[in-house]
Order: sequence, then structure tokens, then C-alpha cells
Amino acid sequence: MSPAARTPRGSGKGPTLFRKILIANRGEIAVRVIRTCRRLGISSVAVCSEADRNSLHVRMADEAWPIGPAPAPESYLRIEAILEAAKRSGAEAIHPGYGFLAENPEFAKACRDARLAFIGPSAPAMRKLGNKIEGRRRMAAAGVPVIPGVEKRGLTAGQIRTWADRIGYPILLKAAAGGGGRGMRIVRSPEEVEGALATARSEARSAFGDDTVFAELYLEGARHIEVQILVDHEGRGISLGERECSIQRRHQKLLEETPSPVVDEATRRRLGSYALKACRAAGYVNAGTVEFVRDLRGRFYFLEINARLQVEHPVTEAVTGLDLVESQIRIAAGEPLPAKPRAFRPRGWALECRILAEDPENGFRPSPGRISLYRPPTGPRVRVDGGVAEGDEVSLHYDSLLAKLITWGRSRREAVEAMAAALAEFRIAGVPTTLAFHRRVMADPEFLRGEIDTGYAGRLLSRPGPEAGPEAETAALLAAAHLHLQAARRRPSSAAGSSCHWVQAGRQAQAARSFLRNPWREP
Amino acid sequence: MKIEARIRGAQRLLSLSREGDRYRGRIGDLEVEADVIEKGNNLLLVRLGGRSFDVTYWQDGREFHLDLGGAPVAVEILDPLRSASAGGSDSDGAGRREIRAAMPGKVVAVKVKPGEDVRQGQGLVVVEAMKMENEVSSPKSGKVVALEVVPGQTVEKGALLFCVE
Repeated sequence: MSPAARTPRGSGKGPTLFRKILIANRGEIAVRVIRTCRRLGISSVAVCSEADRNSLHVRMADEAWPIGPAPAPESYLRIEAILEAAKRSGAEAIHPGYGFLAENPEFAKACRDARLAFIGPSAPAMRKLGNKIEGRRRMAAAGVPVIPGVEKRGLTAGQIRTWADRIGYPILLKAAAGGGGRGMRIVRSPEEVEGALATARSEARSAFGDDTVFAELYLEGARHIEVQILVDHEGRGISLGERECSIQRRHQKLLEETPSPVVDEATRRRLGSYALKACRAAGYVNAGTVEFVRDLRGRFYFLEINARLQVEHPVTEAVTGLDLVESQIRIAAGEPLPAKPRAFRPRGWALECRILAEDPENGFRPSPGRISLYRPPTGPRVRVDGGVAEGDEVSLHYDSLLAKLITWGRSRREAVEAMAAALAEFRIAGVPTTLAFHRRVMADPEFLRGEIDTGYAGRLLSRPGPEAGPEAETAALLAAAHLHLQAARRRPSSAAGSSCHWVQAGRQAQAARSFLRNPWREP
Repeated sequence: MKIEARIRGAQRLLSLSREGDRYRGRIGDLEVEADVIEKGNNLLLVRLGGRSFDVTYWQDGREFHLDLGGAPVAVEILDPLRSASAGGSDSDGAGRREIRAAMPGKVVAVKVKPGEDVRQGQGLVVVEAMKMENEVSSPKSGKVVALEVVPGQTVEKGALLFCVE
């Protein structure tokens, strides 16, 4: 069934939007998609694992369906469970979010086979581009420079060593099906190849169900810059400019901005045309992102295409005024892009800080726990896309993203000022977060000069951190002393506390039983 | 009451008396008077002179990680009764080292058997949490004398993974 042939809703002319969309995801992105659905008058269907039955996306959706136990392979990665929920809820389309099944061609195909519109590119286009190895080959064929690499089938540690001996270390191992930095390892010497390959493979297998790994030269001091594109069913495409995503840890982005301090108008046009050319050649439709790295000499290389909506899409929304989830839904419903999109010029500057449940002081160690307090900032130029609410548990089963803080300004300086103010106001308690890290970035002279690359976060943290000031330290000492005294008072009768594993296990078992008995559909 | 605390590597002695929310006394040589008010959900309001601080925190053992809206502050309460047993617990006697989980997670791989000889830095156990795999390596060369986990097992933070002697 072509999207345009869908049962019309209301009396609008042209292709109509969907009446009901299932979001095959959780957390922040599920909430984000639900918001747009609500604004467009589309019913939203959430799916959730047992660990998520009280999560924010479940509470916000018009309805929610359980799809299995907490581990993602038993829930969010189970195609048949999601399709079953779609069928039973009567959804007409599926939004995959990012991560999980978002770039899985089998899922896109299964949706199509089940007569559900998939809000994203087609399975064949995903196969051609979503796979990093395929993407590299296509871009090279289209005349776009790619990073030197080795990408044989069944690549062995020996083959990687032979290649690396020729080209030099460090090298980067990457999962072909990868994304979000998973299945990726920097290797600095021949001895590390074997272990890194095994870890990358195993991580890739558990995250993507595909353990194909390839190797490429690791460019030190490089910047990571990506281009957002939209392509409609008629093959008409538009590039919405770049995002600078160089501030990373574990190859995962921490902070993004648009425009990039190092991209001028001519470069922007060149990158945009590369991106559109490659996507069109593969029959790509819907929103996509083409990632490039820029080396120290200012040369751009194609990195990969992300066949999905990116985490950092809000910065593009801030400078274009678009709602990219709406654009995705409209394209999937068969609507064309404007016949002659005006040349894109970013309006002002936007930043996004990822607020993660991680401890920057300890190598960004993921830190599950309970969000005892969640107080996001507000005010002009501030947007918060959150996936949690106060009292929620951050589960060790999923990624650590709690919220994205986005600010806008007419200039980079204004956007940074807005971000610094918003970060000071943002409070989260109960788990360590990246809030203080981002506050530090906003005050760092290198960042303020726009001098960032993929090694920036590590360099910043290797320097001594800022001090809190004498008054703040006194307040902190008093607060800690108070907490210590309160705890000492309570200590003798604390057996029922939440740290008791038996009590916790009992509660969980009970919760799991009531979960099975009581899906939300029942009154 | 007297409390010893460590902040940014320096030890401070707090001599305080308390009356309701009000604390009076000294921190080192500094005379202090402040209100500490519990707002619930790990939020404290500290009123110090003309300034108010909203203080949120998370706790890691005896260390409080405090957020006052700017740079993070860590304060460790030093308990004279406990300081003898705290710290240094990962080694005992004749070069035996206990390796514990740095975070809660799931053991996805165990790469050694008890009794096996290992090198320093050799990866022995892989723990996954929040989509990240962490290879836990041996802190020293020696023999694996205890192996407490199996693949698929969920471990709490601080759980014993293995011992090397």
C-alpha cells in the first residue's frame, strides 16, 4: 500500500497524516515523538519493557503495550513483539526513534510486510547506506573522500595487523552495523588488536545482532561534523546545514552545536551536495544524517550515514524552525517537500548538552539509580527534551541519557550564555550527571574560541577542575556534616532501607507479577 | 559535636552545635552560622550569611558529591572508628588482590579459569552496563585464586569478581 492510499483522516486535501503511530523506542526520544504526535492530533502508542512500565514515555502516550522483560534483546529489539503491539493497537505507522531497531532493515521490511508505514528510509536504502562498510564504498564511488581502511569479510586480527603495519597506528575498529559509539575501539599498538577486536565484536553482536567489524585510520585531533538532510518520495532533497559534534567520550557525543565554527557557506554547500548526491543514488527517503570528519588540515572525509533521526536533531530545529519529527511523519505519509526550497541559511546559533547519568570524574562511568530530584531549567531560549521524571529509576539495561538541554542565541556567544545560565539552574539529584562537566565547558576558553576536536573532553578533564569558591565550600561542608549526622541518627533502625537486596528483590518480583497481571489496557 | 571531613584533598575539622535547622560553630578557624534545611528528595537549602545555596547530592559510600549550581564539590566524612577498616581493602596480606565491580551490571564474559596464571593488565572479566562493555583486567601478574562470577550473572557495585595472588 502506498502511503498516499491510506484511509484519510478529516477532510484535508492531499495525502493525510496517520491517525495512530506506534513509537518503537523508550526514554527521551519516545517522549519527543509523542509530543509531535500530540501536536498534530495523532494518537501515540508506546511500547515498554517490564523495567519501563512506569516510565515517562508510557505515562505520556495515549496507550502503552508491554513487549517483554527488561533486557533489550527480549523487548525493544523484538520485531515480532513490536509488530504484535502495532497490530493490536491499530497503529498505522511506526516511528523507530534512534538506537534499538531504528536502522535495522529487517525491521523496516517487517513493518512494510505488515502494511505499516515505517517512518524512516526503506529497507533497501538502509541496507545500502546504513551499513558502514556499504556506505563507505558508495561514497567512494560517488567521488566523496573516505578514510583509509580495511573492510574484508571475516576480518581477522592478523589481517588488521598487516594492514596497520603499513598505514600506521592508531587505528579505529568499528562495527559495520554500529552507531552510538558501540562496538568501537581505538587501537594504539599491534598487541591490542586481538583483545579490542573481540570486545568490539561482542559489543556489536549484543547491540546490533551483527558482529561484522572493520578498521580504519584513526584521525587524531579531528572534528566530527555532520549534515542533516531530508528527502521526499519524489527524490527531492534539502540539506539543513551541519552540526558540530566533536565533544565526545567513548565516541559518543556529549555536546553539539550548529552551525560549526569552522564551516563557511561554501563548505556548507559542498558538504550538503555530497550528502544529497549519495542519498539520492541509494534511493534514500526521509530524514538522514551524513557524518564527516575534518582533519587538522581542514580536509573532510565521509564517515557514515545515519539512517535515522539523530539525538542532536533539536539544534537543527532551533536554527531552522522545523520540527524534524513532523517532517519525518509528513514524508512517510507521502507529502512532498516544498517544490523549490529556499537556500538554507541557519538563523542564529544553537547548542545541545547531553545530560547523562554518568560520572565524568570517573571516566564517564554509567551510574544507574533513582532520580530523587529532577528540576530542569526554563526561560527564554531554553528547551529541555527529557526522558525521565523525578522518582524514576535509571535502569542499567539502557543508555544513560536523561535529558538534552538545548539553547538558542542570535550568536554563538548568546547561545553559550543561555546554556551556562540554564546549566546552573538545572538540578538532578540521586545519580551523578554530566551537568557539572558541561558547566565547565561553557567557561572554558578553548571551547569559547571554538577550538574543539574529538580529544577535547579528555583534555579538559585531565586539567584540574574549577574550584567552587570559599562560600560554596563552606556550604558544602555544612551540608555534608548535616547529612552525616542525619544518617548517624537513623543508622540503628535502617534494616528496611532500599539498600537491602532481599527487600529489593522481593519488591521487584512482586512488581513483575503485578505487571504480568495488569497491563494498562485493563481499567 | 566534632566531625572530620576531607574536601579537595585537605582535612577540615568542624566543631558545630545544632539547634533545629541552625548550625553554629567553627570550620577550622572560620566562625560559621548557617541554616541547613531539608527540602526532601536529596535537596538541601543552606543559608549562609546573605547567600542561599540549593544543594543537591548523591552519595558514594562516605563521600558526598554535592552540586551547588557551579563546580562540583566532593566531601568525604572521616570517621575515626571506621577509617581503620575503610580503604585498602582490595589487597590482603601476601600480595592477594580482590577485584570488585566498579558499577552494577551484567557479566557478559569470563576469560579465565580458577588457578590460571595471568599477566598484569590481562582482561579477565567483561561487565556490561548501560550498553557499555567494561573489560576488568588483572591489577597484577599472578594466579587466579578465586573466581566469583559466571557469564550472565548480574552483579552489584562492589561485588567481588575475582582474586589474584
